Amino acid sequence: MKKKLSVPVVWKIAVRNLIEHKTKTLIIGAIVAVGMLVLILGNALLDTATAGIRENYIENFTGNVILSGKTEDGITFFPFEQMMSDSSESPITPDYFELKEYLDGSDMVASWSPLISGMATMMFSDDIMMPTQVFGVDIEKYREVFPDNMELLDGRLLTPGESGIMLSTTAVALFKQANGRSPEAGDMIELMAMTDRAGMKIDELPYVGSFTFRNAETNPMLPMICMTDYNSLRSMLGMNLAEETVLLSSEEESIIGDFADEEIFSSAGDSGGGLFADVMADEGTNTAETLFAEIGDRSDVESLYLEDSGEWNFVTVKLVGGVTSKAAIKAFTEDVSLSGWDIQVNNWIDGAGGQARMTYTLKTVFNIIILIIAVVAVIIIMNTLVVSITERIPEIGTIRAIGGRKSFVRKMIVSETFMITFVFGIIGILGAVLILAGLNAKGLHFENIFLRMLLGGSVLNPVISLKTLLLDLAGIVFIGGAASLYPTAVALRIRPVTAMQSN
Amino acid sequence: MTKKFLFTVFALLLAGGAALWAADSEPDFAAIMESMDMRSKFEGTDFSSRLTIITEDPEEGVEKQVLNQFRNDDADEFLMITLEPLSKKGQGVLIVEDNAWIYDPESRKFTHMSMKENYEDTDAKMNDFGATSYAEDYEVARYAEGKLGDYNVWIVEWEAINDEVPYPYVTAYIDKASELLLMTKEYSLSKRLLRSSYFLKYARIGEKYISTQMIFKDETMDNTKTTITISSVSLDEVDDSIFTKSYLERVNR
Repeated sequence: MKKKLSVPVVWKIAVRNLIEHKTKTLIIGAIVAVGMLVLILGNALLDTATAGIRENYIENFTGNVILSGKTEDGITFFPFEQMMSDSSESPITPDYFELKEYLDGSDMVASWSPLISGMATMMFSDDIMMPTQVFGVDIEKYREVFPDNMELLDGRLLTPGESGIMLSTTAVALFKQANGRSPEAGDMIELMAMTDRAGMKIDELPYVGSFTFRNAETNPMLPMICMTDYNSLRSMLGMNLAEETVLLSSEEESIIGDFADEEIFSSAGDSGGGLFADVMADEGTNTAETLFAEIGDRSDVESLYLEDSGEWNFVTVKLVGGVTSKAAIKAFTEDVSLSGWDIQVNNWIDGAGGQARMTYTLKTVFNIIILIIAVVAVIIIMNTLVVSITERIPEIGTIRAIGGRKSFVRKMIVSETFMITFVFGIIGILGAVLILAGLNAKGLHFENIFLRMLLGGSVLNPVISLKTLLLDLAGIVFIGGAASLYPTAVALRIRPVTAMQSN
Repeated sequence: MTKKFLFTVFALLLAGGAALWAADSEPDFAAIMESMDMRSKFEGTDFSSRLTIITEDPEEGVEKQVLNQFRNDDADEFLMITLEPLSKKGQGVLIVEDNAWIYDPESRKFTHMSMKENYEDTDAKMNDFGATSYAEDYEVARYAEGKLGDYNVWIVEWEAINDEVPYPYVTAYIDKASELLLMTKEYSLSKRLLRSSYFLKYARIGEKYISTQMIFKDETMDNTKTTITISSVSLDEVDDSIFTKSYLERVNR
C-alpha cells in the first residue's frame, strides 16, 4: 500500500526537478527529439525505398523466387555484373523438364517463366557496336509472370514461336546514329556472341519493336537489355549444342597445371631438347585442298544440335498471395534436395543485382550510424544527468537524511529520464510524422541518377509503419534508461552527511 | 713529345676500352628487337601450320581447340580456321592488313573485330598469332642482366610508343645467346600485371624462328592459362585465294 502511494510522489518530484532544471531538461530533450526525428525520417525513407525496390524487382524482373544452377559466385540477371566476377557466364539450371512438372504442380506457385540471360555485341556498323545484355524468353510464359513490366515504345511485342528481337532504348539510339533513322519492322539486327561452348557466333534477327522496362530509371543497366525469343539466344550462346568430350594426348595432359617461372626454364622443368624444338617444315600438309577435305562436310556438326536442350539460366517464380518468399524458399529447397536436383533456390534479391542490393546495404550502414549516434547520445545524456545530480547533492542528501531510501532516489532519477525521453520522443515522432506527411503529399523528386538507383525511383513518397514508430520509441526510451544507469549510481553514493557538509 | 705520345696512346686506349665496355654492357636493344621481328616474319615465303590451343579455367575446366593457320607476311594476310571442337568447326578469323573479320559458318556471316581482342575465350590476343612488331610498338626504358632458369637473359623493360598494342608496359626476358624472347610480363597503364607469356620452344626454319610452344597465363585470375603448340609447319606457297572471305565460305560447304 505504501509502495503504491510512493509512485505518484516520485513522479511529482521528478516533474518538479525537470521544471526546475529547465536548461538541462531542454538539452537532453532536444537530443532525444532530434534523434527520434532523424531515426524516423531515415527509417521511413529507407523502408519506403527498400519496399519500392522489392516490389519493383519482384513485379518486373525477378519474381519472388529464382531457381538456377548451383554457383559459388552468386547469381545475377545482369551479365555485365557476371563479367566482373570470375565466371563470365550464368550457370545453367539443370533438370529443367522435371522442374517444369514440379512447378506446374506446386500450390505455392502462381506463375513461373524460364529465362536465358546472356551477353552479345550488337553490330550497327563497322564503327558503331554495342555490348548488350539480352534476355531470351518464352514470351507467353514471360508475360504470364510479368504482364506489365514492359512499356512498348515502337512496333509490337514478340509473338509466341516468333524469331526476332525487341530493342532497348540504348540500342535504338545507336541504331539511329548508325543509320540516320529509327529501326523499322523487318530491319535485321546483327549480333555477335562469344562463348566457350560455341565460340564466335554471328546472327541477324528481325527487329520487332522497342521497349523500356517500367521504372528503368532505377537501374542504369535496364535500358541496355534487349529481348529475343529463347531459341535465337540459345543458338547464339551455344546452349542448343550437345556437350563434347575433350580428348587430350598424354603430352597435352602433361602441360596442365600451374608452374613457377624459373622452373619451366630449367632443365628439370624443360620438356627436353633445350630451346629449340625438333620441328621440320612439312610439305603439302596444310593446303587449301586438305582443309576442304577436313572441314567441307558439316553433317557431323549438325548432329550436335539438340531440338530442345531445355537449357535455361534461370526460372523466375511468382508465388500465390499469402505465401512468403521465406516459406517458399524453404519448401523448394527441401523438395529440390529430396529430388536430387542440382538446383539452387534463390531469393529475388540475389538476381536483382548489385544496384538493388546497394539499398539494402545502405540500410544496414544507416542502422550502424544510428547505433553510433545512440552511443554518443547516451554519453551526452549521461554526462548532463551527472552534472544535474552533482548540482542536486544537498537535495538528494537531504532526502536520504529524512529517511528516503536508495530505491526512492533510484526511482526519482529513472522517472526523470523516462519522462524526458518519452515526452521529447513523442515530440520527435510528431515532428517526423508532420514532415513525412508533407513529403508524402508532395513526393520527393530526384534528378540525380545515383539517388534514383539508391531510392528505387525518381519520386519517393515516404511512409512509416506503426511497428517502426513503436520500435523507434522503445529504442529511444531504452537509450534514456541506459543513459540514467551511471547517474543513478552516482546519486545512490550520496550520503546524508554530504547534505549537511554543503551549503 | 714522348709524354704527348704516351698521353695520346693512353687516351685512345681509354676511349677504345670504354667503347668496348659500352658495346659489351649496352647491347643495341633496338637492333635486337628488330632482329626478333625480322626472324618471326616469313618474307618471300608463305607460312602455314597447325595450332593446338589448350585452355585451362577453374570454372570451365580444360578445353582444346585445333586450328589451321595460313600467313602471307609480305601482304599482311592471315587466316585461321577452327578444325576442333566440332561445335566450332569452320569458324574463321581473316586478317588483311589492318582489317580483321570473324566468320560464323552456321549463319554464314562475317563481322569485324579488333586486333586487341582475345582470341575467343583464350588468353591469347589476336596479334599473338602473327609476326611480331616489337621494334615498331615499343621502346626500351630500362634493362638489366639476370638469369631465368638455365638461361642468361637480358631483362628489358619496354614502353609502348603507340596505342595499338594491348599492353602499354612489358618486361621482356631475352635469351642472351640466341636473342630470342623467353618470357614477357605484360602490364596495364597502372602497372598491374595482367598476363605472363612464356615462349618455351622455337623452331628454326632457315633464318627464321617461330615459337612452337607458348603459354599465356592470365595473371588477373588464378589457374587460368592457355597453351599453344604449333605443329605441321609448312613454307609451301599458299594460294592468294585463301586470304579471302569467299574461301571461308567455300571451305564450309
